[in-house]
Amino acid sequence: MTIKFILIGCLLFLAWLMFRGPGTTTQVAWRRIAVSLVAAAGVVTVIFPDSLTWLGKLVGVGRGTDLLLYGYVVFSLFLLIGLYQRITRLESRLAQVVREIALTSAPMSSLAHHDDVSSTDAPTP
Amino acid sequence: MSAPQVGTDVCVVVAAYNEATVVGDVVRGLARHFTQVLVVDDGSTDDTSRVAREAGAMVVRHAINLGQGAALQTGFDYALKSGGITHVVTFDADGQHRPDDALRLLAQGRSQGYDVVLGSRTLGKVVDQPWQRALLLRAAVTFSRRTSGLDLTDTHNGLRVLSRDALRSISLRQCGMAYASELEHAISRSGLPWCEVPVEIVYTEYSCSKGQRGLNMVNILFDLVHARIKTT
Repeated sequence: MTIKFILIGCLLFLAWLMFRGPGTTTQVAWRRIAVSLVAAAGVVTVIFPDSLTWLGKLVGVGRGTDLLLYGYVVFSLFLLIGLYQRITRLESRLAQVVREIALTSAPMSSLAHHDDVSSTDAPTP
Repeated sequence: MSAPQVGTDVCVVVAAYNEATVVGDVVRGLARHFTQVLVVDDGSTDDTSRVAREAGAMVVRHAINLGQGAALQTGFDYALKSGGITHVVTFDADGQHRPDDALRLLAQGRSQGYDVVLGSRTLGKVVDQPWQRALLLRAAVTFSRRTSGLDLTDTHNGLRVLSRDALRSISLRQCGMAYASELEHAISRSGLPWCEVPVEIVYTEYSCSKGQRGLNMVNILFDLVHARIKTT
């Protein structure tokens, strides 16, 4: 019985953490909706563990715990790939910044005598 | 020493990462023929920048290591920013290329009107190439021919001549070694006239130890497939 209180407490705390955070207005709104739904579903399954088994039977899984495991695996894979893509994007932006700094602090003087810096020459990204 | 025969309209771009032991000789070798040698120090932790500058090169430095593709692109951008440059020569920092070959490539591009001139090992003479390297190279060439649509005899050869028009059509997004195939793809897409010229590669102990390990081929492959998926 105690575990139910601990789990519900953790879920609510996580939901509260996730409610804040960065993003545009729409992103924040969608995240809040998603977090509310997930937290509510979590609380329901903690209070009524059999509801998972019922749902599992409905989609053709023997036990509720199995359903939970499958859901967890799929969810973490999505999370992982999302993070990976985000890091890749960050890296390419970092590369842009580093290259930009290198060029702006470059000794252009040696080329200055025929320097006609024109933005039209820059390759389109 | 006589004045360099190639003027300020050509810039040699040397991407260097921790090459302090050899980059000085490479720059001096190039400076005998070329007025403008640009070393892009890709975030080296050794004295690469200082050595290159003392040898007579202009130096542009990345604050952190990004990879050869990014370093070359920085060099290309630098060349495009300085209006007077008509051709860029890319040259490896580890001393495996000969400045004479760079001159021949440049002459070929200018006299025949090729926007892209690529150095080729298989057309030229190869000195002391380890057999593993030869095998890896053959696989890489086959792959590059398939994917780029260019009838290449070599790939990942660091010695190239690119015209200003070629530079404008190239925007390398692959920071690492996969840039070489990306570059070939860009050349193929641009439809600019290109050719290969035999070059001599000197496989010194140093260049071998710095060269790409066979396993890296796997990474290059995956990077490329990934990039191709993203662009389609």
